[in-house]
Amino acid sequence: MKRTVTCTVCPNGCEIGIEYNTKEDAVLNGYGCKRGVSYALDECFEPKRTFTSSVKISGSDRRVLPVRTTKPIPKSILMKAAKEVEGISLKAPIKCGEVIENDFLNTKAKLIATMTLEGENA
Amino acid sequence: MIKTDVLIIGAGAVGCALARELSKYDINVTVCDKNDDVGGDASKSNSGLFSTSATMPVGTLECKLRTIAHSMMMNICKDLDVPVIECGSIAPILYPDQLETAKGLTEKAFLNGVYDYEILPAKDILEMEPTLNPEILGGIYSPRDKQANQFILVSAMAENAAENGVQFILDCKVMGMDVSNGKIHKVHTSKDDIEAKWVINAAGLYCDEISKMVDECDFTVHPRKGEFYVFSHDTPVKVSHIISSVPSPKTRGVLVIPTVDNNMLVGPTADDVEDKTDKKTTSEGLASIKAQALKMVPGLHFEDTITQFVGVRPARIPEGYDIRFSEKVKGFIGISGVRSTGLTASVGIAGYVVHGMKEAGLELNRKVGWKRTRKGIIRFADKTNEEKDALIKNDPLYGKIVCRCEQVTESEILQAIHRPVGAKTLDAVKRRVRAGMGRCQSGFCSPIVIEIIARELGIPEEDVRKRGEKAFMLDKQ
Amino acid sequence: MKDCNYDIVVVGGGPAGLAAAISAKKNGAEKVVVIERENRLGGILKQCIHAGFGLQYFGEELTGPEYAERFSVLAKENGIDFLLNTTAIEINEKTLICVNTDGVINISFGALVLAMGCRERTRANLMIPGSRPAGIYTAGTAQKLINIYGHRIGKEVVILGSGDIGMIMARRLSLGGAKVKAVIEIMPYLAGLVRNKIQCLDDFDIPLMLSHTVVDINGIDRVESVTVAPVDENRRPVMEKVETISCDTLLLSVGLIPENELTRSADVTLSGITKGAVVNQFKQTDKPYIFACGNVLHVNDLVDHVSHESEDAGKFAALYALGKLEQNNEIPVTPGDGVRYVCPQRIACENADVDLYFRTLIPGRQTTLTVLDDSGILITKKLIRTTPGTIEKLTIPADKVKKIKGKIVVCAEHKEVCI
Repeated sequence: MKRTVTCTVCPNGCEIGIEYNTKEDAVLNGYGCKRGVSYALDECFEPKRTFTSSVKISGSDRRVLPVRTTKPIPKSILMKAAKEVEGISLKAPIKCGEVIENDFLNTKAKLIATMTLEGENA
Repeated sequence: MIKTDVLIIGAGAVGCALARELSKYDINVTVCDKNDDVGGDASKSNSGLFSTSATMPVGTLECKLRTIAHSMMMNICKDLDVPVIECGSIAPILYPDQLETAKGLTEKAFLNGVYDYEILPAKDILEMEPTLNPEILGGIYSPRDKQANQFILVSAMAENAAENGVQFILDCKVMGMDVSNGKIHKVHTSKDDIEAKWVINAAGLYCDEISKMVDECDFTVHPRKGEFYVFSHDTPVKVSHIISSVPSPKTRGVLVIPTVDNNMLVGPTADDVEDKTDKKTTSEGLASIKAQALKMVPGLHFEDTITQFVGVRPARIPEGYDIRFSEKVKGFIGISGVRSTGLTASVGIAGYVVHGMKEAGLELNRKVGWKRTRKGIIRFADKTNEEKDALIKNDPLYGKIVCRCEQVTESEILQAIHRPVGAKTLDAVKRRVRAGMGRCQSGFCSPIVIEIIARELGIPEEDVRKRGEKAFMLDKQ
Repeated sequence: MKDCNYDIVVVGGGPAGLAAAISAKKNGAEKVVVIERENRLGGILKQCIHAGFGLQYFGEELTGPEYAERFSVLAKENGIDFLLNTTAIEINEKTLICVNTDGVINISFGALVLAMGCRERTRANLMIPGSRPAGIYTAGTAQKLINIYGHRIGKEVVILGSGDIGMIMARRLSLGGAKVKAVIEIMPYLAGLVRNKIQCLDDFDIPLMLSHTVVDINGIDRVESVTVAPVDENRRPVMEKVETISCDTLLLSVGLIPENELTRSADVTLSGITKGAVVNQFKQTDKPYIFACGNVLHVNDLVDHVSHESEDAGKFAALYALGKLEQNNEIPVTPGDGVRYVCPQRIACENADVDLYFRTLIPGRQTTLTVLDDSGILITKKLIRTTPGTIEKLTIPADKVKKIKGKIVVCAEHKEVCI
């Protein structure tokens, strides 16, 4: 297999070439630093993304609460994650960083609130 | 089924002027319109000019009614609290062959009773309007041409009519009529059926379709598209007079218009199109306006335009105002051929039609206590800081600025919604109080205005419309 | 009318305003107030719920609301006053006039920091022809409707402009179940960050149509489709090759404009290129008691930069208010070949480092950035890759600042142009 990955670790945007059969025997070129190597390998073998979205909330001046995962989750389950959070409905007050789900979709990543919302009477 | 003495079809300038005129008398009057708001089609998207009859076809009904109306208009605007700028107009003479045309026009103006329409030397014109092309050969000055916010005028007439008892039914399209034995028995609409002794066709662009329903249509109405630019308040080169082209036999040409709202309007084009709903701006149209306007006012900054829009005006074939009391169908009055001159002429047409109804036997008894005046919505942005403070003390919602660009407050938006014949859509709010009319073109305020409209009308936010029947702002599942 | 007095008044409670206020306080200003029109601090970051903020400033990746919350907590801890739900409407000499539901407030100040942010360019700015139906939104407005109000805005979306907000909205809409049919960019290269193309477009198989533009919008009530055409090298549409893409929503992500209407009321000189105030390295405008920072000064790429710049603005505003900011002769800084603008536009030759922030004109590789004065090159820096979407920064060290001759020019030269 042969492909090119544009590195997004820094603004240099190295075009990293990668040739492989398995992760172990992959040969890379065009990278500017070590971080690029691990980025390119991840993109080829287990691409991950931090998932951010919002969930319904009541008892606040806001209707939705922004949330994210505490670490990147597999890219392949992003749509599933989006469906999952559609079903979540919370009540204010809630603090920024508060855990909403401990093991979000069995990824070992937590789903946390990214904004503090006081209750309506606060 | 709704029963009324008079049904006016169309809530544009003519329909609303008629409604106000008839509201003086002790009869039931109903106005229906297919749109969500008053203002019709042509009446709400034009240049807002009150011009004299100088260049009108001599001896026509149009010329007569516009002359009469022009002299009434300032009083009516005062009564209805409609701001007008008395800026006068200048038509710069750019080419030698326009000199002859200009002379011809002054003679025509004299015949039309406009004695203060004169050709001035270039030097004097440039002193009055230094933004003009310094190469001009002279200019025609017409001191009594004025500009108003055409929508505020039409909605003020509607509000005043409603306060005096006229019923307005909007989002209500006339679908057909039961006509037999020379009488209209029923008018079918997209809402209730309406039974009326008199039916007045003031449907403007669509008056041919209404007249067909009573088989009284010996004319056609063609949509003529006019594109405009709107300039921001802070563009550096601004005209202080209405700048118009010297009209050629083919076209009236482009105008550069200072407005009461301190935006300049530049346009229109005049393109005959097929489709009455075609309100598309075009690259060609906008480019041709720009080229023509720059010949007259070379310093215009077109990069300062905040929006471009299209107004569709009705072009009747054969041309000319036609006001007809049907002989075939009793009680049907057809008004057609009213074009851009109709904004000014509307109040003349109203008087003319009502007089005709009396002649035709309608007994009109003047109401006691008819309200002549109407107060506009107080605009926060126009006030001094002391006045602003007083407004807020009296109504704290004047302290909640919703549209930052035009400094429009929540109080003004609530008034726009809750006044008689109030706003139900974003565009209707915008036309009344200018929320969304500024440099960001509603980017910042539209989410808030959607929320306010939904709350005040008691509807889900998904049902809030920009305008029209199905122009939903959000995704209606 | 109410009157009050502060050492420092900051207009805008977004990232720029908060950083400036905190810094002003830390640098000796006693009474500091932030004026914010909304009911919550954080500005535009509140609606930027995606990650990617704070890598430079905090050394960790945060979402917009988290980044904002760190600063608002700090601001509260530092004893800064806030006037929420309050709009500044006019600057009258050394008084700021504000409005809220209690009335008009006149706030006199020692120094004023402008941090009002920016607005989005509209369809009218681009003069896109066509009809005017519902369903046309700027990307930021769409972002607010979705992330703040919890609305759905459409089912089938076309996005004009490959700016970052547009691409981020492409992902947000896709995750929300909408179909994003294309992102259309008139230039032959991406306007935003490559990272966003990969994570927001490629991840969702959204086609990016470079060198294309929208030439017509169709639909009477709601958008029904847009007509798209490729453009020639002069960016003129090739009308023989148009295609129609059906959609119910058109998003525009075509650039930002600093929101300087309040600034105009103070008669501050604005730059025709950045559309923000002309400032020196203290972020001081030509009205010495008025400072500006963040996107109202020039549109930034990263909020981390905004925080740093705004801390400077707050610091020097405080020093000015305390009478400790000396006024030296200033020399002009201008963009040279390959550079679109430089901020600051003037520098005072103090005995301190001076940071120059600028954008290049076109994307390229193996770029040499140079700062010159009348006597020659002051500093140079080589970069593997530069794009106009990224702000570059060069620092003139203190020892060189003192010796500058004539005026400063900043240039960028690419070995290889990436178009």
